[in-house]
Amino acid sequence: MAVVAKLHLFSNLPSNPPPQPQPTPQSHRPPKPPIPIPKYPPPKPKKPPTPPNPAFKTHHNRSKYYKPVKQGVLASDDGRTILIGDSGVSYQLPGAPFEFQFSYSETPKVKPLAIREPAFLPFAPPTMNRPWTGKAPMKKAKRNVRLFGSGEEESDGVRRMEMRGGYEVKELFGGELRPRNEVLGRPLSKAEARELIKPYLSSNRQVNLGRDGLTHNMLELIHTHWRREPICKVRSLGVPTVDMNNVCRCLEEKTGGKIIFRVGGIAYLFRGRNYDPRNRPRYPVMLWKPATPVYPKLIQEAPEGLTKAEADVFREKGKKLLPICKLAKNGVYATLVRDVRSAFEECAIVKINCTGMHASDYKKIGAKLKELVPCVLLSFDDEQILMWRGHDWKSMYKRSPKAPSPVHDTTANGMNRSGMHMIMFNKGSEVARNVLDAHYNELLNCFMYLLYINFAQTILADLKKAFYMIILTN
Amino acid sequence: MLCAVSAPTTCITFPRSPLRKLGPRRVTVSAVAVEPDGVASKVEYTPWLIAGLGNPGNKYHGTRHNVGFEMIDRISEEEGIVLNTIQSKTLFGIGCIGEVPVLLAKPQTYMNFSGESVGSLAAYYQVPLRHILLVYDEMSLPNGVLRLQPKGGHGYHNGVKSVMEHLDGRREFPRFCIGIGNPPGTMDMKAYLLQKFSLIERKQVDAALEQGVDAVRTLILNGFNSKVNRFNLGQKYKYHKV
Repeated sequence: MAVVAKLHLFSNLPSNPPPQPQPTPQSHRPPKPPIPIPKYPPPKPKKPPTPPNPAFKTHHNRSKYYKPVKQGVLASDDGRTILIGDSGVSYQLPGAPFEFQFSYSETPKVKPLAIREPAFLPFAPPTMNRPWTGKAPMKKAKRNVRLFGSGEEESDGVRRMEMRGGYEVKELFGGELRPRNEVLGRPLSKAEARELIKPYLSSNRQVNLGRDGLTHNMLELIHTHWRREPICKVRSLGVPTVDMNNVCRCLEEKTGGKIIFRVGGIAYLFRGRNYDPRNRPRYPVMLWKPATPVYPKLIQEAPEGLTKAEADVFREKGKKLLPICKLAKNGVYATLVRDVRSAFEECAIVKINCTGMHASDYKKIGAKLKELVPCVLLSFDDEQILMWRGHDWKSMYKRSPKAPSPVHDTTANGMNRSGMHMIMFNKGSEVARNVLDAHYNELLNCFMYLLYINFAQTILADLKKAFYMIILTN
Repeated sequence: MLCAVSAPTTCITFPRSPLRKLGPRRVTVSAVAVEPDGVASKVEYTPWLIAGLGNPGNKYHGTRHNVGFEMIDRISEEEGIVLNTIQSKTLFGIGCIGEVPVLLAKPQTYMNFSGESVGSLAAYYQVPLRHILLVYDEMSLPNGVLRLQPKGGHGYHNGVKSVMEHLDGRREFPRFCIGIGNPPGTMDMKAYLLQKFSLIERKQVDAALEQGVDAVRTLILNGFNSKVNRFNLGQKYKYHKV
């Protein structure tokens, strides 16, 4: 229709229509909050990291510390000594029942050449024995303890004052160790052992033994397991399983328990009938892992008895050799020693495939094999262990040849056995016995032969019947 | 001291044809086999049943699953035992190795039913369970590796399963396993078993069969002793040589 805007029909109304509300949600402002937005403190500026305490600096991580050592005492501090003895680096504390080591089953028998860090005992110092009160240390005001005694010089020139009613430092090792037989009591019968072990066969509540073998802190761990259950299941995987017998022996000796069942890499340790958790030996826990000392090199260019050229010839041959087995990374290698020994019966060099394992692991396995199967390590390249059986290798078997020559004469073109027989006589009585056997043999042969004949005759009878039937019908 | 005794009638001759009659009884003198290291091993004269498992017919001749048959053929060649009879669905021959009577059998049922034949043969000839030697192919061993076991399981071999079934579920019979290796990659197991050997594998298996005949002889004459263990170990590492 015609524009009626200019007609002043509705003159009361404003000339411009009211502005339409703009539906633009994009530039739509949010409603004001009912309360003012709280102001949070600004984020703290990141402080530069404080330099680490030099007390925590360990030397053996890629450090250049190298100190050659000989056998004997390394460092000693009124009873607390570090010495290198028959069982490698060991720590002696006053009152301890035996020498402490970092690992009881994995310390090699070879003597170390040098150490990689200054010789410190990895245990807590003896003076820090504030007993456990369950509370934080007291504030400074309360810490001042009354001291008694005169502060004058005594006969040896020292001024002494003492704290009365103070703390009593308990004996570190709980006094004398109970003898092992007493703790174990009467030996377990087979039925009892089976009953004890049954609930633990499928459970995975166990102490795991890894590449460091039986460590010192594991002894404490086993005792805490024994506090709750009479059996502690110890499961070893990886390097220590090469020599399970040694691991089990160390377990029994150091913990004082008895292994009642052992399968593969798992051992079930029984604490003993008369075990008393309150009266058990308390060992100080090792606070850090001491650096492994430097041992002589495993592989030499010209190992004992061989020149470098001969060794290289072996290494070349080894490249074409098939490995006898492939080792998994954390597997159980209980049969490895036996397999290597039987492989040496066939060939002078043996190769084991260790791809996927840590280099330190397969080198440790090589070192163990060198001790157990006596052999000479030739090379570790391509993650394979190559070994030679050595000059003074003796076969497990006596001198007789592998495939024994048969007693009788064998002719290759199928002649009948009833020809010549070679006989060796031992004694007259043996001959008499053999004649009896021969009769028995004859009887048996006759019996079997009779069966055969019987069967053959039945077939013959059938054939004859069939033949006659055919003739009759024709 | 070696003393040769030529006795023309030292043992009962097992005839080639079934019609010859038993001759007059002749005395045999057998011996105790004395080995070089002075240990005397007693020969057990109870008869052995050596059964090789395989599929009959030309189509399956020379396939991996039929190595049992090949082994039996080899043994019969070497020992002069002819397989000329048919009894309870097997091709069958009777003879002796040394002084020990031996029955060689090749069941002509297909592999999955070998048990019927072996079981009924053993029952007829009253061969004790410990003297039934089963020769068959084994996929868990590498190609050409042999193994003599006094007892064992079936290893998912249908022939051995059926034999065990027909022997009342007993597993305590000795076995002679001939290794044929795993199928490569994701190849179907049945196709692999019914394939013929490749050239290299054929050579390895031929060499293995020769060694095997010797081993069977030792087993029958001396039973399961340390020699069998040595044989097994030697076979296990025979390809790990340089």
